[in-house]
Amino acid sequence: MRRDLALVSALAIAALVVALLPVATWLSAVLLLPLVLFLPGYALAASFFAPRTVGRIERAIYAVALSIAVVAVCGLLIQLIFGLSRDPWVVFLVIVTVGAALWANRKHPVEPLVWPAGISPVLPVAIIAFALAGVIAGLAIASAGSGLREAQAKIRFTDFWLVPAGAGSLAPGEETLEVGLRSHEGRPVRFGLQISRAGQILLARSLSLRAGETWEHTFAVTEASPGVPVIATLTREDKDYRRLELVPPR
Amino acid sequence: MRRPLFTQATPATAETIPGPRSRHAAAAKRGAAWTYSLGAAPALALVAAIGLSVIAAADNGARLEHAGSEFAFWLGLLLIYLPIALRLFGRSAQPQERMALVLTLGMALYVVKVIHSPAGFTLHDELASWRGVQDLLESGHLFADNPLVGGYSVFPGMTAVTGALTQASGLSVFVSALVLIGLARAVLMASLFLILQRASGSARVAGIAIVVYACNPSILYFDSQFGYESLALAIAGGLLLVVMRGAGLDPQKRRPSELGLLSALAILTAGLVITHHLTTYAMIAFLGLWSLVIAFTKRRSPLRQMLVPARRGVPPRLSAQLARLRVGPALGCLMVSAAGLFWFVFVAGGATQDELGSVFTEAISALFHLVFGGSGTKTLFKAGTGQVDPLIVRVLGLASVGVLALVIPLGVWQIWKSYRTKPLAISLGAVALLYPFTLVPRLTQAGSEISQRASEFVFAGIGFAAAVFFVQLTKSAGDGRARTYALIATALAGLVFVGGVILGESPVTRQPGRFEVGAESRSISPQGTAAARFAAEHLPRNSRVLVDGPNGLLLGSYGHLEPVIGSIRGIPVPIVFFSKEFGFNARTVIVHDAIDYIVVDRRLAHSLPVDGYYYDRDEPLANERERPISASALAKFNQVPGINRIYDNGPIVIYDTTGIGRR
Repeated sequence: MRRDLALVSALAIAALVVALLPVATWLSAVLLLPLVLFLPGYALAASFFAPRTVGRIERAIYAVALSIAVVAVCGLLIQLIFGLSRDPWVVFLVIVTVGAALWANRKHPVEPLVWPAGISPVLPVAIIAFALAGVIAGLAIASAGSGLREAQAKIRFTDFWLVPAGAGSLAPGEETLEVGLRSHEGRPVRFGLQISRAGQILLARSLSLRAGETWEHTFAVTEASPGVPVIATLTREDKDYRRLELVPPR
Repeated sequence: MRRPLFTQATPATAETIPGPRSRHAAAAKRGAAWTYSLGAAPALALVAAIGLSVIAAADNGARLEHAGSEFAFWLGLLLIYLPIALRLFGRSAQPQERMALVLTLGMALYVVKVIHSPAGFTLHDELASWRGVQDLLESGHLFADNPLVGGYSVFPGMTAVTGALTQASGLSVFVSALVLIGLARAVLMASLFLILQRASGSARVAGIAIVVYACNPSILYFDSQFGYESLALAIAGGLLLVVMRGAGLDPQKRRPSELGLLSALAILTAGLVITHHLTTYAMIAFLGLWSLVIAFTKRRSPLRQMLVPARRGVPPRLSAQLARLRVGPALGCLMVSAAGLFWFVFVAGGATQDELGSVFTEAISALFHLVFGGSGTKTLFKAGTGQVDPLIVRVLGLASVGVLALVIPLGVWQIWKSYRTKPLAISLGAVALLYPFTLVPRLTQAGSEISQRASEFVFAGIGFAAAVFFVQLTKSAGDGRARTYALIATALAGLVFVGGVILGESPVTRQPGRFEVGAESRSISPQGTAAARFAAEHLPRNSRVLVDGPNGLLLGSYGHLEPVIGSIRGIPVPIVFFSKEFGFNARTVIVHDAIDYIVVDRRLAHSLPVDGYYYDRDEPLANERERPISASALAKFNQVPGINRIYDNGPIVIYDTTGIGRR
């Protein structure tokens, strides 16, 4: 078999194996990204274009463009039969890749790539320079991410909600509500929560939330006072902070 | 008489060297394959990377409102652009080096967008795309309604590919999207280089053309975003290459088999047609134009024989003529047209008409108002807040247009002189002539989008024309003079590049920064994201919500709600927010438009919207507002019986309106 097609088929099968095993995300990404974005297109291009009818860069372009197109088109077909999930995708792409590689090998058995006897001494230096440029660009992106986090850390607030708890109704004439807090304050903060209805206190709680922490509580209210709202008030470090109102749905 | 450009010798390259025809011959050729001459490209890639670092520092500074961050941003951009442009304008670079430089330029400009939004999506189409992919991941099926951009549900190509990437690799949608669009950018730049190289027969013309192409106002952000157009451009690049291969524009290569070409063309056509409408139509138009030019310049073209009746004898039957068509622009045009028509008629017609129809009718209406007076016009370089760009920025923006307006006719004239027998070159020249027509809509609010979208196609022609003109100008110059010309051309290209960025992106959104009202990416805030997260966790899916534009994007994507705009019973829905009291109109909107929630961002009352509107382009007083929306109008919902205040994070409050319908 042609070396390039053997390699493509081997990578596709390796991707299938990795997809079936519980492996780290990075390994999964390293093998499965090419299976979606390069390998099917390469095998298809190899079957469509005989060696030396197109150049290397053009072949690489076809590999990516055909991969994208074939994934897009076949997504329409797969979803009709199986629904789109990891297993059908991987199996289908491996079949396309290996099938096209075998077909290409039968139609065009001549090796397209010429293995070099030697490499220009400048080439490794160029590759290192490009890799270094890639690393610097990666660091620039990381620095931007860090800058974004730093800027966002200065924006401090807390989510406060009071909603019907949906399917959690306890009994006829009773409604379950949920009250919740999520802190984006960047540091531990003390809150005071009070829930009342028609002057009657249903819940009073003192809370301390760390940055990013969520607190939720569900409670039942009766419909003894239909149309009367449940009122939730929140104080933050002993100062009035937020107020919500909800008439429990009938 | 001057020698036509396309007869200039092109140095032999890995792309053009015919390969050996047997294993023995292959062995004999060993050693030739990896002796790439990348010249200055690695060094310039390092310079570009330093430029990116400067931009990252500038954007970080802008987030913290440090002085000088705007200057650093421009410095970084020019560090990327100018050295590569200078090298490409020069004579000494080899084709492989030019290709490497073109890829470096394209990828570096893509990374500028990544640096702008390094941790999540902030642009309109990106959030709409995220919603489409997320729906796919959850349901396993395409074609789910997309409440943010209707077109995404009926052009599911990108959704399918991103879904496949995410599901297969286990990466997040955001990372998968970055990889996909980055790869698409690389394919676009490489394919455009090869297309222009074959159109001109010169790698130098192709390189210079890409330097000018990179000046298009969309390249920095719009074409780098996670949107279906960004992906479709890459597929279109591959498709054009197949067509060119079929048309035999690379005489140094054997022609691939007809079946192989046809198969590749069919797959790429199908992929393109289900990915993006406008790129499909642009491809049909360009291939059609190219076919017509062939028909009228080549006597023996089958298309010509179909269009122009034979003088004598019985003309062959149409079916016989069609059977003679081989893979080339005419067949490509027929295939893309047929597939595009099929998709339009059976799948995407309604959504396409809604999306493109509204863009075009709004633009035409705005142009009408521009000519005959009325609303809808816009003052260039002025934001909706009344803020005007500094004089230097306005001068640069206009000067860039002036340079192009001067170069295009000279370039087209040169194309006519040197490439009269090359239909592809003539077609590219014709595309360049569309430039003035794409500028006029920019004078209106609604037309700016058309102008922006058109630029990514038209600049391929402009780049080609400018490159042909420059190469012809310096052809007979000595080395010293050629270097001077290259320096001048680089300076002018730098001017056009800066102008393109100015025209393409408002000063408010060019860099990240503190929250601004009605300012696209600058209005995407942590509070808005937190509200969307709350909605996703606690509110019923696809509930209908009245909300301002940027928060609507977050709630429609991350929040899985359905933002509502437009009007109901003749009442514009934003009236609910603008009216001082919750009266009959507001109640009508809530009840008859089945609104479940109202989202109020109290920050809207702090300033006028940068884009000229808060909720909807068609809202009352859009672009004409002189005072911000009143805080009391936004607070009125607190006193309305039947409206429950269920969420508050400080700036953003969510009201449940289901009690209104029940009352």
